[in-house]
Amino acid sequence: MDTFLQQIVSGLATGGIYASLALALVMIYQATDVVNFAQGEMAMFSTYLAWSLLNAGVPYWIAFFSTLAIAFVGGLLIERTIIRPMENAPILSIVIVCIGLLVIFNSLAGWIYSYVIQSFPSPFPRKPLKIGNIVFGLYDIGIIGITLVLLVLLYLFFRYTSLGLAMRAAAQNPVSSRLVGIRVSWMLALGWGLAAMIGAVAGMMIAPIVFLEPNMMGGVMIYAFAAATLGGFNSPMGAVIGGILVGITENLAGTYIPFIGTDLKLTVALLVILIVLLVKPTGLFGRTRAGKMWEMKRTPQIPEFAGVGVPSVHSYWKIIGLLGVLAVAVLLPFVVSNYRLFQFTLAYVYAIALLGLNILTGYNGQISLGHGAFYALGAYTTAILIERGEMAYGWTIPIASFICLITGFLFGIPALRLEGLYLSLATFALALSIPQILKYFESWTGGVQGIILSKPEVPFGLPLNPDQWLYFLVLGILVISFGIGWNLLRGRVGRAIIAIRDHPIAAETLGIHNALYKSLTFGVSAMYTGTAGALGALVVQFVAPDSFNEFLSISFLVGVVVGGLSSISGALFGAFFIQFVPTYAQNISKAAPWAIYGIFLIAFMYVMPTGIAGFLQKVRGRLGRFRRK
Amino acid sequence: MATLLEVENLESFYGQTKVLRGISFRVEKGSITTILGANGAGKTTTLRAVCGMVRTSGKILLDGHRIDKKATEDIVRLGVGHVPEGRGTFVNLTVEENLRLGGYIRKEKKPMMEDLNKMYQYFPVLGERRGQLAGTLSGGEQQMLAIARALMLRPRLLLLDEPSLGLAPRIVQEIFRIVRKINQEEGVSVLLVEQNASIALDLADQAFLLETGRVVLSGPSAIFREDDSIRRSYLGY
Ligand SMILES: Nc1ncnc2c1ncn2[C@@H]1O[C@H](COP(=O)(O)OP(=O)(O)O)[C@@H](O)[C@H]1O
Ligand SMILES: [Mg+2]
Repeated sequence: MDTFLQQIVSGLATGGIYASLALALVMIYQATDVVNFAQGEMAMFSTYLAWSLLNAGVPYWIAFFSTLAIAFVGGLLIERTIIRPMENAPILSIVIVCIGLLVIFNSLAGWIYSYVIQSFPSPFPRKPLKIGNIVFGLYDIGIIGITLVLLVLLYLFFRYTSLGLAMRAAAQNPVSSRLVGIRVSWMLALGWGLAAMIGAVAGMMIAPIVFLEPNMMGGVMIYAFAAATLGGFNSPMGAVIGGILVGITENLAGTYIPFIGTDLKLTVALLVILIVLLVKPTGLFGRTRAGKMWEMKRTPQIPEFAGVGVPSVHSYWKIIGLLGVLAVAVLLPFVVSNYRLFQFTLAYVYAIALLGLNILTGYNGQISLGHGAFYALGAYTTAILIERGEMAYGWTIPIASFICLITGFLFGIPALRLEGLYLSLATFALALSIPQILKYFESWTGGVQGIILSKPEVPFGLPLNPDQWLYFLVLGILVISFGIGWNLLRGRVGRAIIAIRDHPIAAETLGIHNALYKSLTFGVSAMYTGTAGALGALVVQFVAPDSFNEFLSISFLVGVVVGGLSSISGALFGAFFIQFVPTYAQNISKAAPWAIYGIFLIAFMYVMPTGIAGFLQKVRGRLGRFRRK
Repeated sequence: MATLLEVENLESFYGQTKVLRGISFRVEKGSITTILGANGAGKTTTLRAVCGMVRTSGKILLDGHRIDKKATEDIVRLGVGHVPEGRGTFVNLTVEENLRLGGYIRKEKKPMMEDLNKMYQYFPVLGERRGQLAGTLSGGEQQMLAIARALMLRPRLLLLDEPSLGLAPRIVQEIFRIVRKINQEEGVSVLLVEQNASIALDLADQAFLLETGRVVLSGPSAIFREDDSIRRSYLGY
């Protein structure tokens, strides 16, 4: 019993931190409809600023409040300068900009402050306080206290001040808000400022526990997302309760469920959330469906191959162009180095994965932040079949595809219950738990060590080296996958899945079986990405849990959006972006390559809010109109 | 009488489509002016243009000052209250919060709270439901709330877009009675868009008729009321 209470008490303390970060997330979401993926890194950066002040000899509380002020102004400025220009861009482009901010802050912190772990002072004494047999850390009580104070202040602000009321109004109904004289865009900026400030509080509270380093918020943010999802993304109170519940669940599960230990703590916490979402799809305290804008209707549809059907000079040129590109692709292996070739092979692999994600997210409007999981599934299927099953690698690819098709389809069924934002967060939970799960089933997966594969042999005595053979194998599968995808998407099936995205109710009345189509789309999408995973394992000749972390999934989303949603060629552009731009950034600055990558990302989204394919479409449209004049 | 709102050669666009093709009209201080016209004539667009909610060219002057390039919130701050088509209440906020938002731009909070009580006198129903979410009100109650919210601004000019739409005749009469009262007691000028021409002409001093983005007739409302041929061919009653 004492252990039980003790675990609850410690759960409360960590829960308090999750709660305050979740609160920050919910606030930006409520004020702006944007889920700020950079929240954690902004908090980390603010904490470093506080640390600088403390090092300069500033007393704790002065440093504390100065940091809050700086964070507030910083959040405000970020909204004004970086988010504001994207106001009318599709919501996913804004999400990508946030991801860009995330890598920039992370990389900048590493560059300025180095990755050496620093200690950060705590404002509360470390002394334990014993009541009965239960130990309360004074520090823990301090954290809970601060979270509560924050919550009460926010509640009073939103409930009773006219500024708070105006902020709520602006988020709900911007048009009517203008009609009562509210400067809506400033309310959004204010929302960012406040959230940055709350994040800074959380950062300074958690730094003494996890120590200060640029990646300190990674793990915490995951729980904060979980907390916000659990509580419901439009309920500040829910965020706080969600945070505390997550903290307690995490502690109790780690202590009482023997096979979990600390290894699967995260997975269990995420599982709990998935279950809650399936029972109550808007979170425990969420009211209505979350995120009108997360339903993707803002994304302009890019009609691909608009000229097809009417044989015109236009499509004639298009075929010649395609053949030309193909010819270059075939010649490539004989002119570039093996390392370059490896990079191109991998880019093609990504292109297949991105096409899969694009079918789901672009065409069908279901946002997945967890496609890395299917990629991992495909990769491990191939690796295990080859290593443990001694199967010929050629056979493992269709098997991996099939397994992913089925898994994707099955995952698609519960996913039907989740709308927009919640679906993306549920899939994100999947992405997050993959490395832990892979490590857990060590006897199959080789645990942390992973599985090393040998280079596939060149069949039929072809005059190629293994790298060239792999290149052609991947290229062949790429062409076939794109061919199938193109046929699928431009026909009846394609129209149906687009109709479901844009007008779900109308689609249903037209006799389209929405649920079946949506889960099938999920399956097909997973199949593509899983096939890519299988190929990826062969190309890299190595699988290990940490190559399939959440950044892979995020990278895929980046690729799809940068390449162009609802566009087949976009998958290819996106793949080249995620394969080559990071290397290129590395060449520009060795010290902070990811900052450069983040800047690229943001710049790309500024210039091409609808992705590369969307941009080219627009240019082509302009040229066409110009020629006709 | 002095002019409060003067619109000159106003054009207005949705994307590339021109919806208003150069209209001119005036609203005198303290008067009620009504815009008549069939569906799609451009009445709503005219009100939106005055509020800076659509792209326009031409001149719009409020009390002699150009407002046509100003942002909506700045025009509102100059004393233009707009009750938009479809009412635009904040459905997830309470009645009282909606009204407080109406007075958001006013600096002095005490007279604002007095006005709040005045609204509850004008529209007793709102007083009874002050703690209720606006989304749970009936159509007529929401319309009253939308008007009351605009009045909380203490507007000089009130723009009303089809306040009678979808309401029972008894409630329509009630709403129009209050509009007249506000106009007479507080001197608020009103620009009224109304499908129901007969009731609008009874209330208004001036009227003009829009047809596909052009003013085809304008003058004192008595002329519209009394001329049988106008009534038959344009107003259909
Ligand atoms: N948001 C909009 N986007 C594009 N066209 C619009 C929009 N609103 C109205 N229109 C068009 O502008 C014209 C005038 O509309 P409106 O001003 O609403 O007419 P009324 O209020 O007189 O019925 C109509 O042809 C209508 O289709
Ligand atoms: Mg209208």
